[in-house]
Amino acid sequence: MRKPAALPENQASVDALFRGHQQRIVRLCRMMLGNPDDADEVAQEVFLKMLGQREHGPEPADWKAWLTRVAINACHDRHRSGWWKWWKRDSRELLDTDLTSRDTVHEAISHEQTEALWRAFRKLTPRQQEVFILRQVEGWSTRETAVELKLSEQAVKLQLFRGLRRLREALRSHQ
Amino acid sequence: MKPCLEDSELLHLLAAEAADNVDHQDHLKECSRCAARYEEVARDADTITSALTQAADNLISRKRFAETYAYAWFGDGFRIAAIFAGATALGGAAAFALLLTLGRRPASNQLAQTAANRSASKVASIQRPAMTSRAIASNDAVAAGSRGALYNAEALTNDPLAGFAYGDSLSAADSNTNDDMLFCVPGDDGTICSSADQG
Repeated sequence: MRKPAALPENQASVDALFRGHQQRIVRLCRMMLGNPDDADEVAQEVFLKMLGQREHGPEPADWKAWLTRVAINACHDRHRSGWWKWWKRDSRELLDTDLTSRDTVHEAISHEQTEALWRAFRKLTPRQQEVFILRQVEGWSTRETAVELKLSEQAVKLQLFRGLRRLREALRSHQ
Repeated sequence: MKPCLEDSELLHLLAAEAADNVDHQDHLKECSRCAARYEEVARDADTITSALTQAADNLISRKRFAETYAYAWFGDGFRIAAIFAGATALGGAAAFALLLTLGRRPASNQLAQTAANRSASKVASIQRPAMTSRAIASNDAVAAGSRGALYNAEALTNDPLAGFAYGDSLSAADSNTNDDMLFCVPGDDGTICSSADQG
């Protein structure tokens, strides 16, 4: 049996990068945008930029951080676009997206609690959402988060505290 | 020993780096109750994080978005269409009412009544063109008089060329408010207008 030809080195790396980070980037975009369709589009843009970076630009030392940074900036751009503003203004209630029944999140947490948490998260300010995502989901340090979001470290702590307080209230109110 | 920490302080402690709030960290080491509460807060934060990440992974609202968006779109369309339809109907009704008000003419039976109220002899003695006279010659005098007067009056009023042909005479007839109907038709004797009162 003929052995399939091996992929070129850089192409294999791109493939590995895509496979390794695709789910994480899509999730990040979904959390930042709230709309899965938009999130998928933005994630595609991020990976197109990754391809461009691999071909033309200097290779970043840490692809994970680079991809996260590009994804956050792409979500910012989407937030700033007139189309997004129009969508958000005219269909604000649509951002309260539906959750599937497959979300076996936590045994200790019900479907209603998950929905309540998601809705509470969508009601956080964009800054609080970003800080929460970077600190809690991505595991960045306060300093890294502050540098990336151009905030002071104290502001990062305050935003995280406020976000966590609201989310915890939502969690407690549905227990 | 310091008093126990409040929930907000525990949350602050969680949001901050471990090196921050050394006093609070020390208190947690000494107070098992606060340590347990801190563990609970941290557990809540983990639960929230894992719930939100998995919720984001499981978002499949594409269909619902499309449907809801379609409903919203059509709903807006219907609202706009209803507003336009209402505005058009109102405008049309207003225009129709205006036309009715401005363009209202006495109904034919009113003219006939007016003509019938006149004496038949006066109406019959009006000088009319020969053709008109012949047309009504077959009728009896009263009927011919009323019909002829009606016919001529309507013809003069409705004929768009009457303004050219009879010009000022017609307007004079229109402006006659003395209940004397003028019949402005060229007569054999060269007169243009003759009043029913003139005989």
